[in-house]
Amino acid sequence: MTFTYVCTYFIVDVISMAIGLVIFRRLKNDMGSEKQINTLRWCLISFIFFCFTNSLWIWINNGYLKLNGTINSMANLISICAGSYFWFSYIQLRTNPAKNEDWRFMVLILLPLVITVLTIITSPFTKLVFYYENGKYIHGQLYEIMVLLAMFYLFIATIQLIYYNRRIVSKTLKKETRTLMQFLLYPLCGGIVDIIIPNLPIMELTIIAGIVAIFTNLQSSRIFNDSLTGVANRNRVEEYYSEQMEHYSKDNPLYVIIADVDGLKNINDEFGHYEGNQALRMISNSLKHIINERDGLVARWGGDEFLIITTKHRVGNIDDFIHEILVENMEKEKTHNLPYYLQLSIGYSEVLMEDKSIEEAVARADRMMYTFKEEHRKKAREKRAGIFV
Amino acid sequence: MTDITRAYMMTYISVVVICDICGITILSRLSEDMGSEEELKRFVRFIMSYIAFVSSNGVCVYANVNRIGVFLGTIFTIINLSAVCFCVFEWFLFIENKLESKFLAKTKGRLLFAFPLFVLIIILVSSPWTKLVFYYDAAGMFQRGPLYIAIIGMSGIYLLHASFHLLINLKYADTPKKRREHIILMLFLVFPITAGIIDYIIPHLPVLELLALLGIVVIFTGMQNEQIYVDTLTGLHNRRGASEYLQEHLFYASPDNPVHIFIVDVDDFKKVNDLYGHAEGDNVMKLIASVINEFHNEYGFYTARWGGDEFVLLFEGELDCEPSAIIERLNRRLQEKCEELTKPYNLKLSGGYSSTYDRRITEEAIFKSADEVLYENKKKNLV
Repeated sequence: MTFTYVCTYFIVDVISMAIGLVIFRRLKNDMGSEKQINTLRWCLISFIFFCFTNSLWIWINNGYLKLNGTINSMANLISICAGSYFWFSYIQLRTNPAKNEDWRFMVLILLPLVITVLTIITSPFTKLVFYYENGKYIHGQLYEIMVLLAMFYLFIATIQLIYYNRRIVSKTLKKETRTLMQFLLYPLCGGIVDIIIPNLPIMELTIIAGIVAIFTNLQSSRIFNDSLTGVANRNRVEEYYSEQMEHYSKDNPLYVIIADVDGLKNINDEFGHYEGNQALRMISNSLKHIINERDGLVARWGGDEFLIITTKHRVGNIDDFIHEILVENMEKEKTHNLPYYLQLSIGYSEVLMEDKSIEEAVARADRMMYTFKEEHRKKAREKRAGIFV
Repeated sequence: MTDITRAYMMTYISVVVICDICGITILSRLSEDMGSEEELKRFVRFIMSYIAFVSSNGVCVYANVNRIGVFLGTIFTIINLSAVCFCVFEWFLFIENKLESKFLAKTKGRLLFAFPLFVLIIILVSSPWTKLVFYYDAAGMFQRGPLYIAIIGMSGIYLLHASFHLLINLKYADTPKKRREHIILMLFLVFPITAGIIDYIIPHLPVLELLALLGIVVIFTGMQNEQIYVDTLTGLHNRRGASEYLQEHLFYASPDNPVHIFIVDVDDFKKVNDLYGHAEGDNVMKLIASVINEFHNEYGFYTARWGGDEFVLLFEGELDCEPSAIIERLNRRLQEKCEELTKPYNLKLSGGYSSTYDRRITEEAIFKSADEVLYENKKKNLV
């Protein structure tokens, strides 16, 4: 029976490693920001390492493999602690990326990991966390503390996620949050079960469940999101439009707002495509920020055009709303010290019952936007000619 | 129960629970993201039978370790072995559907292939009396009967058939992506075989559940990758896919290898929407898509929904008729379909087209010239 049990444990680790590797290889750069994808890669690397060292450990610990397990156990414990830090880091990048810039916070949050890793490395001598006696793996006095420290990161991530969930309004984001919760809570439960019932490969299994949940979600976002800016793409717009039109009501109709980036071609020509892409990202972020407070959809409709779809009630006074968008973007100019003008031309249209598709409302919004674009161009010409308004 | 036995049982049950959770996660993604195409429906059924198979495995392990008695043991074993058979059969149907097997599209074909399955289930259910597949002996121990191997054998035959069929069709996979997909599906056979071999050497391991999970993750993430190019409403390709196809194939355009583009849109779509509502409007889209897709199946066109009510058909190579004839054929077929389904309206498409033998033509240019033809034809149709 021991052999069957050990083989079962081993098979779980091998397959978990394989699934981790498959997903690692399929991670694409347009599934999130660069930092996010890198952090996710580190999550997977530490997980694969954890499974590998575990698969050796189960043979060593049950006497089938006559090896000194010290180094292996060290690597094993370090990979689980580092892994939980990376897990927390990814959640933070998804829910509160600004905090990452706060270096005081980052140093503080890294401290428990550093202390834990040092304790683990010195453990064969101090016998605090673990040690080997007569070939048997034994937990030291501080083993539980180490486990709690690893879980500590997951707890903080949970709190961040709860606060994030309270802040956001948009339904799409709420769905994303559910996936993030799976990514976090499955391993957390696995950790708790592991404390109560040790010697089960429950961590590997629950982490796999969390990874499958997040990865399939990231892939589906590629289906519905624009790869450059992360906002919705045309595919998603069609779907969203159909969904919303099912609850169409005359006193709370849909509004389609189109925002065109003035002179994106010039930015691309003068400062390069990288700068142009950054401009698009900045604009899409501020549009996302405005809509997240209200609920609606932000989409990239074309090379330099964005769509916002929301309902009349959520927007309030449409002119104020548009003013808010313009102001938000002007702030961006100031704070980022841009060498170019970031200007939007905005038009909007109410969606009518008779519209056969969203294209009609977009066309009307487009016409309005064009009149503003012309005004902006005129003003720019006048400025250059030295006529001051 | 000894500690080790309990550890083994709980490990196995954890595996079962997590495999179920992963399966359910994938199921919810399937229904959310992807259209209701036949292929995806079949995959959904396969995943569901996988979940049933895995769960029943877990129950059986619990039952065997805890010695719950002959009656319950019999019931669970029957459920478990049936689940194996159904799971294999659903995989078989999924593959056949993917290969667009016409025979199995008909109910007669499916019934014929399901016949061995029915026979097997009957033998299985009658086994407690006939002792053919399994039975519990006088001491209450589980024993395999002489036909136990038949269950394994039959399942193996369905799997082998699917993989063999995939192998034969490999030559029709004309893009590297399709080839890779084909090979992955063929290799899925390796998992049950490996599991079988391991089970022979070291029994009672959750090998099949885990290997199948690995395979499912690989296949599903591949499917999601494909979906980036699919229009969710109609199941045709989307603008992104058409755009990429055009760019790729324009690269190889030459005097003896022309590239053709057809753009069609629906006349008076607005009227249908007004009179019959948005839901019917969606149905119109799906109807047109199915007609256009016939042109994909029969003539090899790359078919896509360009947006709104515009569709695009792309073709590389010599056409066997005038481009305008294609549009006529489309309209004839569309009218037939409308009559078949006794629709209260008649649909008509206006089409534009353009061909190029020159690889220097850009995507925008060829699209523009087809658009101009469309504009002219639309004006003619309104007269």
